[in-house]
Amino acid sequence: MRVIEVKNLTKVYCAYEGKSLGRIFKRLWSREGVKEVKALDNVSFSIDLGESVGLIGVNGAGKSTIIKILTGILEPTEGVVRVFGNIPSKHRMKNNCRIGAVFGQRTQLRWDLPAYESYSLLKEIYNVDDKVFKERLDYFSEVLDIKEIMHRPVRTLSLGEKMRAELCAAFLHGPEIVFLDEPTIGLDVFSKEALLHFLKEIKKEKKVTIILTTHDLSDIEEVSDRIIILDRGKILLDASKDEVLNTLEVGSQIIFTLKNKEAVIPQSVKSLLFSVSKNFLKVDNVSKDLVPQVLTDVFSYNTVLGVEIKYPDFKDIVKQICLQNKDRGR
Amino acid sequence: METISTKAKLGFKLIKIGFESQYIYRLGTFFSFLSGLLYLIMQYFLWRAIYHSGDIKQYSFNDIIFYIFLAQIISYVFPTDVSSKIAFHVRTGDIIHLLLKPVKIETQLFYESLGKSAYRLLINGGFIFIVLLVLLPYKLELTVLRFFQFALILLLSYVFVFFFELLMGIIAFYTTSTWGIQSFKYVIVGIFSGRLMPISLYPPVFRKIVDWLPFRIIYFTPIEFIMNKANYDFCNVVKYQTVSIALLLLLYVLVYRNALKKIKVQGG
Repeated sequence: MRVIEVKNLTKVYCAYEGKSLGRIFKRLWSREGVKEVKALDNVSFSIDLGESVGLIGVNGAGKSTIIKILTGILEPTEGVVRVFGNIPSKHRMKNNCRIGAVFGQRTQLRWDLPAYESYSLLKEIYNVDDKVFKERLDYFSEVLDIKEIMHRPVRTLSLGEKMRAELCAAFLHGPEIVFLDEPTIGLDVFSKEALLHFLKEIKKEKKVTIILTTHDLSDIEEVSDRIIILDRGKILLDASKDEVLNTLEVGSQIIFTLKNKEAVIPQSVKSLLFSVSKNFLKVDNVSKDLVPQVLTDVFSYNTVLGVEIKYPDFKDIVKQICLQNKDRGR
Repeated sequence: METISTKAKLGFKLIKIGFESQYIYRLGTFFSFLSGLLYLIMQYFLWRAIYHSGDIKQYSFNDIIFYIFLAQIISYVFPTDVSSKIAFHVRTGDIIHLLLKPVKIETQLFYESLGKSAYRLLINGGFIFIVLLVLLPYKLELTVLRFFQFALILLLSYVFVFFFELLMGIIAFYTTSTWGIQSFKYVIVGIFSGRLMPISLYPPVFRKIVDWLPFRIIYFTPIEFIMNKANYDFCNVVKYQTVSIALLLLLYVLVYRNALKKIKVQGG
């Protein structure tokens, strides 16, 4: 079932140049100094129920703008957006019943009160049945390990504990779409692991669409099945995680430790990206089929003490895609 | 029926949360009571000095002290922190969570404010009332009917203050910070509502300006009504308050709709 449909979405913000008092007054009747900034430029995609999508992009790529438009907080400048078949900005209240959200630096829990109080408030807000609420809370608090801490005032919790409590709050009413905007920001390894474990458990049931934005690509690698890479408001890539890993050619890195003081660079390496530092020779972006030849050639011209081959991981691939696009933009 | 009971349960839960969020800061409550008491002591000596130099026609010394004590008790009831709460949520970006709930932001804030008001009325207002009873031999001619009429007038004043606070709060959608607006609000309410002293003591020209504005329904009208100071017609007071609330609500809805279009959630 399709839950999100976005066609030719464009969002333009107005940015104001100059902060002098004169300029500010002038803006009351004139649009001079008003600059239009395209946060999203002709973006199209659709998402089905149960999909887990990772939104990737550097700061200002348009990730948060997409989330705000999908939740109905912002209105698109152009294009069609439908969530559960409704226009989000017009049917925000209706859609809100079926949406959950976690924003890394913000909280929906009452700061002064125990998280449990906020949960019981959410139960009333979303009209969750007593039995269902108890079952969900028991299960989530077990997986997220918050059984004890949910009875302590939120202000006394550590960042990791708070985020786990936040995640529980976002899923308690059984939402069909959950937006997770930088949920792991600033978390320690254990809290992050607990969070990702929880998301993987939730995913198994295929009843929730998870839309995750993060700067940490390893989060997306663990949780998301599909990846949308955004750059300066445009979609660079929209593909499944397996497609990204298998079809995109990003070379390996080979590091040789040499006995000879002056490295001899064979012809096959000269055509590649390489660097020499002390007795180390580093060759970058070596494609799969070139690896044997590079190894043979370096071995035949040098006395090699050690070799390390770093195969590209998910993070490198995504970085490469972004860099390639940046170069094209120049 | 189910919808009514669901709404009632939510309302009750929000009231409870509002009450609890005040209760946990008991020490703060104590200092709030203390500062209120010091303010009243200062007012007492100030007015005593004024009455030493001559009487005021409309009000005896006891009248004026009763007025000021009652204004202080009522001030604990009004939800005067709603605008700063909205401004805080806008500044931190937490406003997005309020907007993502299937319940209107006004409903969430209103019920929570009721809980806070109930706590402040019981604790702060209660203590000030005891001080008033002990210190001031004031006889209030009050029938049961008049008391309920006063309660209704006060409730409408509460609603007026709530929407006024909402209006002041959503200005934060445009300005992010509302410290200037907050100062403006305090001055407006302080001068035009009768919070500091009865409006009838103002010079005639100034009184005319105050009469043109609706703010007197916040403190002056309910207190004058219960003190039986002027020949208020209950129905006329309620009509005036209802129309004022309706106009304020209309203005709020217009500004809120426009503000939502301009919203920028802080921090991405």
